[in-house]
Amino acid sequence: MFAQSDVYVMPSVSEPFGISPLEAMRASVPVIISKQSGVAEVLKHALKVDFWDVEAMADAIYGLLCYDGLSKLFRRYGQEEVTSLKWDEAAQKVIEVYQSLLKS
Amino acid sequence: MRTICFYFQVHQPFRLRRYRFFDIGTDHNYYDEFANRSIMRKVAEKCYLPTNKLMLDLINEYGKRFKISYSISGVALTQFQLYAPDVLESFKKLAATGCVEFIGETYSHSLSALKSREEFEQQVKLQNAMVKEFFGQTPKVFRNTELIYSDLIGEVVADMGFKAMLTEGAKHVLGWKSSNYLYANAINPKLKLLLKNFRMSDDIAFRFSNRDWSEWPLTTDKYVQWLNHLSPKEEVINLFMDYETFGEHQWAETGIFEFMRHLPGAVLSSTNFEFLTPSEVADKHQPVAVMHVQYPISWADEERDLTAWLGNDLQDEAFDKLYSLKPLIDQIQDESILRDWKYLQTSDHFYYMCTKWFSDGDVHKYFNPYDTPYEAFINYMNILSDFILRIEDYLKTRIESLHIDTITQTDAMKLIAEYQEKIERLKTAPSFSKKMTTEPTTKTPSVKKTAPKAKTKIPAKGKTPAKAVSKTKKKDTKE
Repeated sequence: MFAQSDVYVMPSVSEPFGISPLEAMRASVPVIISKQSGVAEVLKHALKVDFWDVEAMADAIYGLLCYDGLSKLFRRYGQEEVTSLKWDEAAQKVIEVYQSLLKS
Repeated sequence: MRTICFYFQVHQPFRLRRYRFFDIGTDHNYYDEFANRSIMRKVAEKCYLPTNKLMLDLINEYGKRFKISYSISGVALTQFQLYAPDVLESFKKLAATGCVEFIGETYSHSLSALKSREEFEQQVKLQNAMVKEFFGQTPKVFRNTELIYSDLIGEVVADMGFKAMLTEGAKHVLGWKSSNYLYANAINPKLKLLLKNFRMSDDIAFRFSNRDWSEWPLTTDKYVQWLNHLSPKEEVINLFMDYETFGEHQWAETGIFEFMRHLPGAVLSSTNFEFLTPSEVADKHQPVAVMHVQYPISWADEERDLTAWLGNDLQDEAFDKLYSLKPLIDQIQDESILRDWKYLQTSDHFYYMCTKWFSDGDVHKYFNPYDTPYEAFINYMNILSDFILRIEDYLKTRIESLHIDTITQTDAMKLIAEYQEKIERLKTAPSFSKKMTTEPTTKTPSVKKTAPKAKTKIPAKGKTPAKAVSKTKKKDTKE
């Protein structure tokens, strides 16, 4: 499915995290996500739009389909970004928070 | 006598409005009139008017001993005419004192020097004519957009009859050499080069109000002391900066105006420096060496190269697509198309697409009206798409090579039929029907791009009218 896709859109009204855009990026598919999703806080190489903003979403989809520069950039860096998202790193951050609290 | 050369850059781009996909083919107004007017008024009140007054006072006070130079981009001059005639008047007053030199540049503050010699020369001529009209001077010295310079650009500038050019004293080019001398172009040594002393310039332009800076607060006494500490053999200190430094980047509250008010007096009384304009510097001093600059340099960021404007996929695509229109533009006489062609070339549009802000760049964010470089890119490309449609309308042809990525109507219909057939087939196949219903609704169906085969530039007359094209595009994304 991803291999056939040029764009992946997740226009969720609300999404606690949203793991599926990560899968898409992993498969080198550029993603558009709503600003109201948790994953929007994590990702840099993704287009973020408000879920109600139809015009911005149209812009984003059309842009990814027709302006090669954008999809090229996303394909190049998206995969890299996703593979660097690891539980190890998240756990490390949590440990650091605990340790900083213990020190103070 | 040693020399201090002040040069100020005045530039305001025509900012683009939020231009939506749905506007392509229907709305040809690209500019954010409100933002352009209000920003121009704000900067005029905070910077241009008070600083011009200050400079005029200083010139009146010190007579011919205090001299400065400006380069005002053509798009800024046009905006002065539209929104701030009072600013234009005050510049004219400065010009009348005879202590102010106006320097040549490209009309659109564009990067054309990197792409098209012809376009570059046209824009420089246009700018020269404008400076002549407003200020009664014909520029003898040139500065390229953002001080971009290379040996080849220098050669073109020399061919156009300029005697000197300003550029950055970039460390990676100069190495151990000092920027405080005159240099010459490597291909045509007749063209003299004035190099920006970036340390002394940025002390004023960037660091002046920075309280974390070890030298804060910067006073005229301290600055004059630094000047006196420079090796006595060094001849020219070039202080180049944005004019908006005064009152806009450094607010009036930081004391920047007082600093400038007292600087000339302190320099003239307690150092052996004099103030000269760039052409006087070029006449008075002799170049010490030629400077070799194989790859273009600029005055931006730590790298002093072009990466703020060009280099990432977004910027390169937009830039290449824009200049691929050049041969078409040459056949056009329509005034509004030619005007937009100039405004769209302004380097700021490419600056907004810079992705370096991920790592570096409060400065980038400060100037950027867009949230992300992606937005800037999509917005610009939407406008460019409409611009291309207008060009095609005017020339009554469709240029296939510009549409390689977009899908033509017939192709789209074929695709739709194909996919519909596929869906039907999947629906009827029992093993797949379950999968289809559980498929998340949020996913868009895939639309495979198929490039039309015609890659040649042979224009096919009236193959698809402009409006029909944009409708097909809409359909594609909706289906």
